Amino acid sequence: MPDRTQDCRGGGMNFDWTGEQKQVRDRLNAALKGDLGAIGELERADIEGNRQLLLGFLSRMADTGYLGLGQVADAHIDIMTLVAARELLAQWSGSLFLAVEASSRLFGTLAAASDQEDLHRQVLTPLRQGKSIGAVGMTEDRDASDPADTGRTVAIADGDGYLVTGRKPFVTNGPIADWIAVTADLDAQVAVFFLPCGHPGLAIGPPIPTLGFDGLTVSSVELTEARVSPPFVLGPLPDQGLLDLLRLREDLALAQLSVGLMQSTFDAARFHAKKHKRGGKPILHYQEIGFKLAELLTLLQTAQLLTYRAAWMWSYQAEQAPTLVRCAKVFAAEAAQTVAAAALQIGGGRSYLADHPLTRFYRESGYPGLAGTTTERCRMAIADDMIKQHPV
Amino acid sequence: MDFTLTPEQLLFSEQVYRFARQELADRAAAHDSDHLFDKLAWDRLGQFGLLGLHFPEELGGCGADVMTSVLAGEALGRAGVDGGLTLAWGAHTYLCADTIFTHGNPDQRRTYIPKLASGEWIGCMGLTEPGAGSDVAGIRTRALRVEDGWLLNGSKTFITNGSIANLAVVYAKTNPQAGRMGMSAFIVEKGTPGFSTGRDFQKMGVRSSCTSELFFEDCLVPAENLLGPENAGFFMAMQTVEWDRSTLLAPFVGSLAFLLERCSRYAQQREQFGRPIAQFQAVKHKLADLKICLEAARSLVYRIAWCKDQKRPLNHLEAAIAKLFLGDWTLGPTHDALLVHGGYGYCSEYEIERVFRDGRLAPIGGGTSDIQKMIISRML
Ligand SMILES: Cc1cc2nc3c(=O)[nH]c(=O)nc-3n(C[C@H](O)[C@H](O)[C@H](O)COP(=O)(O)OP(=O)(O)OC[C@H]3O[C@@H](n4cnc5c(N)ncnc54)[C@H](O)[C@@H]3O)c2cc1C
Ligand SMILES: Cc1cc2nc3c(=O)[nH]c(=O)nc-3n(C[C@H](O)[C@H](O)[C@H](O)COP(=O)(O)OP(=O)(O)OC[C@H]3O[C@@H](n4cnc5c(N)ncnc54)[C@H](O)[C@@H]3O)c2cc1C
Repeated sequence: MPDRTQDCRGGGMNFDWTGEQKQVRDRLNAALKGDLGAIGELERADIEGNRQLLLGFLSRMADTGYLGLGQVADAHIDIMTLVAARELLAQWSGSLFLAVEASSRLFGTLAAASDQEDLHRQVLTPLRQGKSIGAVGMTEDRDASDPADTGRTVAIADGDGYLVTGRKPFVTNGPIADWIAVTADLDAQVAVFFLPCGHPGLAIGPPIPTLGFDGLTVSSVELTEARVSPPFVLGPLPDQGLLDLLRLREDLALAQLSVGLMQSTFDAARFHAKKHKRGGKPILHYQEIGFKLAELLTLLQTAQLLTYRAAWMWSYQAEQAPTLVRCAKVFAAEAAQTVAAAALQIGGGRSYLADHPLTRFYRESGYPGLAGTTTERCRMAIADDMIKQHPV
Repeated sequence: MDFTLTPEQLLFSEQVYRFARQELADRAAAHDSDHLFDKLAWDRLGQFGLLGLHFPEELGGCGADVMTSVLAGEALGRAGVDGGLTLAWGAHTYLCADTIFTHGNPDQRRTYIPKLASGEWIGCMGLTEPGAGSDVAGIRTRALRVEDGWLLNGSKTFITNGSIANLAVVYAKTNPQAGRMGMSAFIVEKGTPGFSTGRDFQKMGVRSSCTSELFFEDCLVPAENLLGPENAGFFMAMQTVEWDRSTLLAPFVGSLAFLLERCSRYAQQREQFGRPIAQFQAVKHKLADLKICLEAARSLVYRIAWCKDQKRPLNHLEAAIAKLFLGDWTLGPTHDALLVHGGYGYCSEYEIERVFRDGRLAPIGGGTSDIQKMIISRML
């Protein structure tokens, strides 16, 4: 049996947000709630418009304290504050949620992990002030487990700096970023290289159209002997620890994104079912519809509670926390797809039209499961933990 | 948002687990196969204090909070105690005794709670009738006010502990015209003239619990045995099923932990194609799903317990969601546990098929999954 004594570390069971946990959430709500229309504009803007809109939101978020959350090594301390606030963003806009996560949390964590003052001054400070946008390129086309696979990004020492060469196929915020952090192999270890956009040797590909999140910009990034000086290098990292931590944080964020998507989807489907009449009564009053909604609410609340519990365990650094985060991610990502598909059914023909919100949620719902640690890899990791916890 | 358990709660749950493994679990298989109530296990539950856990000490209980009760139920399931014994425990402590404790007057509490809390007396609760299950307000058992008490006529079915109970909390119509506003509850002791029990049903699972019929033929119940206010029975019954949707779900949560533990070990020991089956992704997939389901179920049931401990007003929505999840979403992983064990899973020796059978009560007893969906959809 896993050790559960860590379950006793908190301040007393409470299924409501405490005032302290809610502080940033309330500020974020006050700063952006009135502007949901502008957030919707993200979905339609061109690249430059998208960048300006995003910078506008980031600078307003900076005043709420939201952007600095979850960046530093002991970020677990305020994880529940982050979770409470991030939940709002997940409901407002998946595109904005993902853009901010890539910039503040993924890129921000890597920048905060460096002890270089130049990097902090030039990169981290404007990022926290909401004045610049960051992006991270980790994923590659190659099979990481195959040393003969030639698709890797590599760095070689050259004079007092490094030359980085390689390709990253998916970089969120790529087309609009001020800074990009890429991982590359350096003497059989991994290091992170920070490059400003427009840097010689760094080419940003055109925006890639995707199935969902029309307001999110993604591109490939190509590096050809791009020169990076030592203050802008993190590592070589002694082990995978930091990158694993980053992945796990992303996984928790993706679980929250799923819950937010489900909430928006459920609200839209419920609204429709109460308003739309057939046979002289709202379709909600048919068990085929009403009971379906009951199942969806069950999935939504279960995913939400499981995500909270995983985050809470992490905030106390419980041994089981990574397992719980993966459980929450798998459950929430799969539930989001179920909820989105059922909601489309409840919406009927109207919801199948291209610009209907339920169609958008349906397109977006496929993402959380395949992003970050994929559902399949999460399951395998959970099973490995179970095998370890139950020795024979 | 905080999921902290107190060290006392955790310690107690470990004590219950150890007790259950040593004193109860090994007895389950035989009683399950014989459809036999395990009186010795019952007495041990009583001695340990589990039959009156949440009652105050002056009434023979332990003064535990709801969260502790939930952890105790979970520990029983995790230890491999069969669903029959845990159902008998739940029906006795929560459906019967708690109704007396919550709605009874001081005399009724003093008379009955200590005997029930110790396990000296066994209790049951009779609501369901042959013609009224989901439609609770459709019960036909009639209680007529007569000079020296109440005259009960009618019958009940599917009553857990019915044939072995010393006492029954029985719901009957006191004002048939008033629908749900015309139901009341009564305490009926075994041996009361006109009160008898019928046959016990043969069942798919939870076999070590008796599931019986109750008959009332001009059964005269003393006036002071009316429980709670006259015509308030429906709301009392609804409050009772809140336990159904929280503490009584806890053993099901525990049994998921039991299956996870068994499967994780078995998969490492069983070899096919020259290696442990735990190395096959399809088997690992099932282990992961059991874990996910277990943690999801835990989160839901703990929330109900917390709400009850906070003395929040009836939380129908949360309770219905927990009940629905435990009823419907556990079927897949429970079935997976069977498959991980291959042919051995299908055989009684490995206990997996018993847990599978016992678990199938979850979407039926205490309100079917459809009824939970009805409750939820009405609150949208
Ligand atoms: C819109 C978008 C934005 C993105 N933004 C970024 C970004 O900003 N930065 C970044 O670094 N990355 C980004 N990504 C990449 C994303 O993180 C990856 O897609 C994700 O990590 C999965 O990797 P993959 O696509 O290579 O899948 P693959 O690893 O190729 O997996 C394909 C399938 O095989 C399964 N599979 C793989 N290995 C195993 C195994 N061992 N056992 C069982 N099944 C397995 C997977 O679960 C999956 O179903 C983005 C992707 C998209 C679509
Ligand atoms: C082992 C066991 C122990 C039990 N212990 C007790 C006990 O101690 N005390 C007690 O009082 N009862 C007890 N019960 C009874 C239990 O609570 C009922 O079986 C349950 O509430 C369902 O009622 P029913 O069997 O009459 O099914 P029905 O109500 O006849 O339902 C049959 C089917 O119709 C569906 N249905 C019914 N109404 C609707 C509707 N409006 N909309 C959609 N679908 C609907 C149901 O979901 C179900 O699928 C026990 C039952 C079992 C099996």
